[in-house]
Amino acid sequence: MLRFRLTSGSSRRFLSQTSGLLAAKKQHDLVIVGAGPGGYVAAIKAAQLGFDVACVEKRGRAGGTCLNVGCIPSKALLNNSHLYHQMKHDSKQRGIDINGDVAINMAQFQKAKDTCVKQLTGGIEMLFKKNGVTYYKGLGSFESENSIKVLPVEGIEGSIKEETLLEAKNIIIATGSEVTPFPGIKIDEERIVSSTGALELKEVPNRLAIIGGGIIGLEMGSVYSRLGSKVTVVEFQPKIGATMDNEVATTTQKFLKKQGFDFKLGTKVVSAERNGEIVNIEVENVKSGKKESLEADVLLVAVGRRPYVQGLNCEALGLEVDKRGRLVIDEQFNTKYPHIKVIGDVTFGPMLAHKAEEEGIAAVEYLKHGHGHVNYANIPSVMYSHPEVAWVGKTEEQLKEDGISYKIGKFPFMANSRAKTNMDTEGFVKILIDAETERLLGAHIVGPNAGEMIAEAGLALEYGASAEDIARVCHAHPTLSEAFKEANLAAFSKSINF
Amino acid sequence: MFVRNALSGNVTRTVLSRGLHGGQSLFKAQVFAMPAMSPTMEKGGIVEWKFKVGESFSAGDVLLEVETDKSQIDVEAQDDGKIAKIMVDNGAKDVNVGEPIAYLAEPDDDLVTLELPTKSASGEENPKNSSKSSQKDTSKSSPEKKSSEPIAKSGTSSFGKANASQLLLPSVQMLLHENGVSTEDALSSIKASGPKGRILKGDVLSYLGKISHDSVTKLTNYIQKFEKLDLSNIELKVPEPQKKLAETTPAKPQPVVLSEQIHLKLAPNVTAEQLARSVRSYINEAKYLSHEQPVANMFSDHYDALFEELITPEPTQPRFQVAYDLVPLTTGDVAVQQQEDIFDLLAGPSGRANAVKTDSEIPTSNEFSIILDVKVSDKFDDAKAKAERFVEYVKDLEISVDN
Repeated sequence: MLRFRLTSGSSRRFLSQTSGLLAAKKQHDLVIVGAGPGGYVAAIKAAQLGFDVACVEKRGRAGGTCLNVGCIPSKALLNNSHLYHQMKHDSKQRGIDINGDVAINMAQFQKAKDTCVKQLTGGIEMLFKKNGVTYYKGLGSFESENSIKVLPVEGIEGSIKEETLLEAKNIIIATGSEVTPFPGIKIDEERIVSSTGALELKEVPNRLAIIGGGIIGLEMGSVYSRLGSKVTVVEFQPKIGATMDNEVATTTQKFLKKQGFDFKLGTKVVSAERNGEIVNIEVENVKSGKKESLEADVLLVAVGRRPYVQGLNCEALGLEVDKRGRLVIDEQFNTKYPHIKVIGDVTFGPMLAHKAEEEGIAAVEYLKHGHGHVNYANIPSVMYSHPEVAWVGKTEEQLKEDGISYKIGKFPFMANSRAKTNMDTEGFVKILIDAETERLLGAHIVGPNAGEMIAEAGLALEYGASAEDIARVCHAHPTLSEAFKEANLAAFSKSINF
Repeated sequence: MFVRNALSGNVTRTVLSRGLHGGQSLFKAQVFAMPAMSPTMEKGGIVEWKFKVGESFSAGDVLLEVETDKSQIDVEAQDDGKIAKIMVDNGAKDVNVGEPIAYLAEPDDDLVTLELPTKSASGEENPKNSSKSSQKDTSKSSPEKKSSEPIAKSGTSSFGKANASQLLLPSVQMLLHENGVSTEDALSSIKASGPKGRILKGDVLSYLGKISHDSVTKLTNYIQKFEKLDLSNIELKVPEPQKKLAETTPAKPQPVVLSEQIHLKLAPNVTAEQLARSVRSYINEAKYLSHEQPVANMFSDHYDALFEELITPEPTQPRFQVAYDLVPLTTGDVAVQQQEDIFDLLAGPSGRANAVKTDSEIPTSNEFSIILDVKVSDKFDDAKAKAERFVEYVKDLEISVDN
């Protein structure tokens, strides 16, 4: 009751601030701020469930970080750079002689990427139209706990013409995240770049230094390493790959090293400065304190991402924020206002597009039915290096720490017939199961197409399958997925082909 | 112990089930073991059984009263059932926790044909116990293990009734077939730990006594723990800067500083020294003027100079302090221009160089900037108004010089 009074008081204050401005007013059942993978999926789902939905996006183009400057463009670069690398270095032994030059046309290389980004982001707007989602291109901010003010943004295509006030019964915040800056290093997106700038390089740098051995760093490193850059990764932790299983991380480091990566682990960056066309980086070994100077043509700062709420004016509503800037929610994604929900990177949990999507659906289902479901124990991660690395569920280290006795099943792609015929046999499937019930606890794959294969593990986890259940499912021959089956067989019994 | 016993008169109630969560066989009675009523309890006495052999009870009924060194506790049944056999009678003292004290059966079980399980399993678990009686049945009875624990605590959330419409997992089908359990029996008697009532391989293994029931419970709880977002231990960010300001302002008000940057463009023939001198005198004059004139509207009918003077506290005290810097403008552009000049000389006139040249014909030092900081006194009500007025005066300079 008290809170109710307080909030109604504050809404009066908000209104009085804007009285006199003649903003256009619109009403919706649900307003979603942010059209990234969380926001746009929630918007479409809500429209399908019968809500009158509006989605507000200041970038103009829908799709958020993921589609515009994240997952999608990087995968375009990764795939094409892989093709180039294969043609250049891997064709002869396969019996393909190339009479002529295999060369990178950087402008076209980037254009190909931009084209698919454009198509995909445009596709979302089509989906909005198809499903009846009202799309406002403009900067959304809280005017009160029941209204979002949308301001025109200069320079974006199709920006709303005038300030518009959206009144909504329900609001979902899906504003995502931004690149975490590295203290003391100024990103100019030219020589010192974030992941965004790394996607836009006009030429292949001779030397690329990367701060951060996480997925983003290693993927961008892969792209330019294949195009001919000498890549050096500086990572503070003693291992790469963030939350990867240790064994997988070590394997990953090995194959990347073979591809020409140079790793400086357990090393912190003291400073980095642009001097004309080069970047000077001072690093220091965390243990020994030994200092070293590096020189690079481009420095990529990829130390993670942080929640983004700038300009949202959620402070005015008193929405709680934790120490890492995440908006505080309860199990139903509610803030302290039950009609304002938060999903995706801007709140808790792993910062992954597919996690945000799941939450978007669940949040809308909460609004419609009063219940929704996201299984946070079953969110896969994929790194699109070559070979790919993918995992879901528990790592060996987590199980050890939690005192769960487990069994391991492993199968190398070297023993998989399809991998053999593809001449692409690096990596393995590693299955972790409970020692007694044999229930699947985690799957870790290094290998060709690992990212696609991990879906099978996710399905198995979701239904509580044991290794035997997976092994008893008929897998087509010859496919890479047989390696997955065999690893499960190995986990509770013995593999056939190894 | 007796003294303490006498002192404690409180009777607490604890809910105990028969440990039905196990995958126990349909036709077997359950061992009911001495419950641990506290984590430290090792032994206890049986005060009184509230039911006789053959009597049925329902969930929530008090089965018996147990005596510990601290108190007397009622033990409630969690499920419906029937007493099949009482092994430790009323008045027994120092019964070890976990020692079987009775057999319980389903309410509709026939006690004559009922198979009483052996005590071996329980005995194994409590090596201190010397088994008192041995039953003819030698089948393994892992479910009984459960009953030696404080069942009140064991969560039921991780298990549910098997979903009758499920398609059995291949591993489950195989195990049932191998062990001669029909699908119907499995669906009705195996408790499911999988999502939405799905019977998992572990559930069947536990039902068949091949693995302990505990391991299924432990694992299921472990898995379920991570299915939800961990929202415990959220460290809220304290809105520090705002709060601090609010707290400290009344105690020690921060001096208000009005900052302004004023851009000046000189006529060509004025030197920097001349400018500095005249700026100084102008600022002094502005300072004087803004102090001199009252804040009130002088053109109002109600304006009275004498009255204003009377109500103005300490009219001679300064309302603000002025600090300023007069900086010649050397922007990045200028530097570029100079650099370009050298290239111009070398490369000859190009379109761009020409444009630069026309720019650089204007001497670069005729633009100045006054960086003004006005520290407003916090002692007087009219200080801010006067300081602002002063800033306005100085801003006039920009316009008039420009013009």
